[in-house]
Formats: sequence, C-alpha cells, structure tokens
Amino acid sequence: VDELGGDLSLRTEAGRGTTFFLRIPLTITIVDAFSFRCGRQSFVTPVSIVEEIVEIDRARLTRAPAGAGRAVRILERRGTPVPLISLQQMFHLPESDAAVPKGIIVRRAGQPYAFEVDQMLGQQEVVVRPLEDALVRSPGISGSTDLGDGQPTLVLDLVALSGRVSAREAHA
Amino acid sequence: MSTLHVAFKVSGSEYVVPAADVLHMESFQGATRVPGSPEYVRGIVQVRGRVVPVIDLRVRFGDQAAELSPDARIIVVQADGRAVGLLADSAREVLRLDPTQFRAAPEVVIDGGQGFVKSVTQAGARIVMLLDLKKVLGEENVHGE
Repeated sequence: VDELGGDLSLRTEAGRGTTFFLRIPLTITIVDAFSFRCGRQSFVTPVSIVEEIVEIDRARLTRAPAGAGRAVRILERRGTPVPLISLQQMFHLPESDAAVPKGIIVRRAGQPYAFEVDQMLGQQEVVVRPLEDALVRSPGISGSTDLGDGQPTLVLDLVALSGRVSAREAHA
Repeated sequence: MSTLHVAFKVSGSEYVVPAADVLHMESFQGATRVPGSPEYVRGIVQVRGRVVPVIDLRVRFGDQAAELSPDARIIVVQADGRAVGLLADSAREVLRLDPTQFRAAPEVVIDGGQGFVKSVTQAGARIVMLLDLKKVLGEENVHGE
C-alpha cells in the first residue's frame, strides 16, 4: 500500500467493531498485462485489448505498395489480411534481429492490426502510473510501470497506436 | 543574506539553481526513452517511488548528447507543481551565494540562450549562471496547440 502512495488505517470502537480504511490514489491502476521486448526495450500492454498473439513467418508476409508513405506489410491470419505494424520503426528503436518475431493482434473499429515485437516475456499484473508531465505525455502511451528492474517500463495502448498509423496513411 | 545554491556543470560551463527548488539528486543509471517526446527529453526515470521526466541539459542547451561519465547527476527540481530531473555532467558543490550580487545576464546571453539563463554571478573567480527553471522546463503544453 505504501508503494502505491496510499495508506492503511483502522479504528476500533469498543463493543461496535473495527473499521479498516484503505486509501489508494485514483491515478494508479492495476492491470493484467503482457510484457514483451522490441528494439532492445521492454514494454507492456493490457491483456484486455489483445485478441491474439501469433508467430510471424517473415517468408509469408506480403508487402503492399508503399505509395507516399512507407511500405505496408500484410500478415495472413486464417484467410484474413492483417496489416503488420513495426513498433521498432514507429518508435525509432534500435534494430533488433529476432529469430521468430511475434505479432500482437488488436482490433480497432472492427479492423484487426498486428504489432511486430521481438519476443514475448510473460504476463503479470502491473501497477500503472500515468505520465503526467507534458514533456512525456504521448498518445498511445498510457503510463509507466516497474517490472522490477528499477527502470520504468512504458505501458502501451496498442489500439490507440494503431490509430496513429492509419491517421498517417490518411495524411499521405 | 546569502542562500544555498546547487552548482553543476554542463558542457564545461557552470550553472546554479536555488537549493530550495531542488528535491533531491541521483546518479544517472539510464532512462527509459518515451517515443514522441522532445529530443531534449532523455526519458523517464524512477526515483524514490515516483516517475519523473529527465531533461538532458546538454541537448536542451543546443549541444550534442554526450557519453556520460559516472559523475553524471540527475538534479530533481520542482517548479509550478511539476517535478522534473535535469541531467548534468556533474554536480559536486553547494554554493552560498548572495542574491544581491546576481546581475542580469547580458542581453546576448538571454537572446542566444532562449532565456534559460536568468542572471550571472561570481563564485570566487568563476562565473556561474542562474537558470530560469520555468524556461528550462518549458511550458505545460510543449507539444504546441
């Protein structure tokens, strides 16, 4: 409770019982999240928005014409084409060469989008603190958490990030 | 009456901020980059149970980001209810400075430095520059309208 910035107190009245007071700041939320690595950095995203996690077979990706923007790659999932978004390119992260990249599939406005990541790490409950300062407020990044390594880990809203891609496509 | 100031170095120059504005200082263990943030934001760090953005002062002052030595320090300051870390090459001293001895920075310094330097003073034989924290931290809406 201390680590969350809350407090715990209790009051006992003779003959009436005891009341426990547990106060936790509203700005902090706890979510069930998948952790993964991409571009040598760790991230987490809420389990609730993830539809499926697939293995990406690079040989089976289709590359659509680039047009004005950058090339769009298409992943085939059970007969349905799913655009594949490179998180590494979107965030300008260092190149990494995952042997078998994974695709995290989310859905926005009925449309599936896959995010390419290097490696899934696991699933755990995480405490999310919002990034409140304007210097680091960014759409698609809902906050930060601590996976236990002492460094903040960004919590990504992949649904919002998928919107960033199509917004850019619309501009191009 | 003199007041305490925390002195630190960035790109070879010496700066001070009032000690009253400094929450604490930390050694630099790396920061988590936040995509989409301004170039001078090194990332976020976790210090004493809170997450604060870190401004790389070298980059903020128009220099290249440099390989950091173990002397590098994060000076966590507060202004306008915000807590922000300032990354300096080193921070070794607390100076007792007389506010009446501060002189307005020469106009060229103000114009050239985007107003980051509020005033200058002497600490012994050295010239130290007092930072305008509000200017360095930027406005609340850094991403523009």
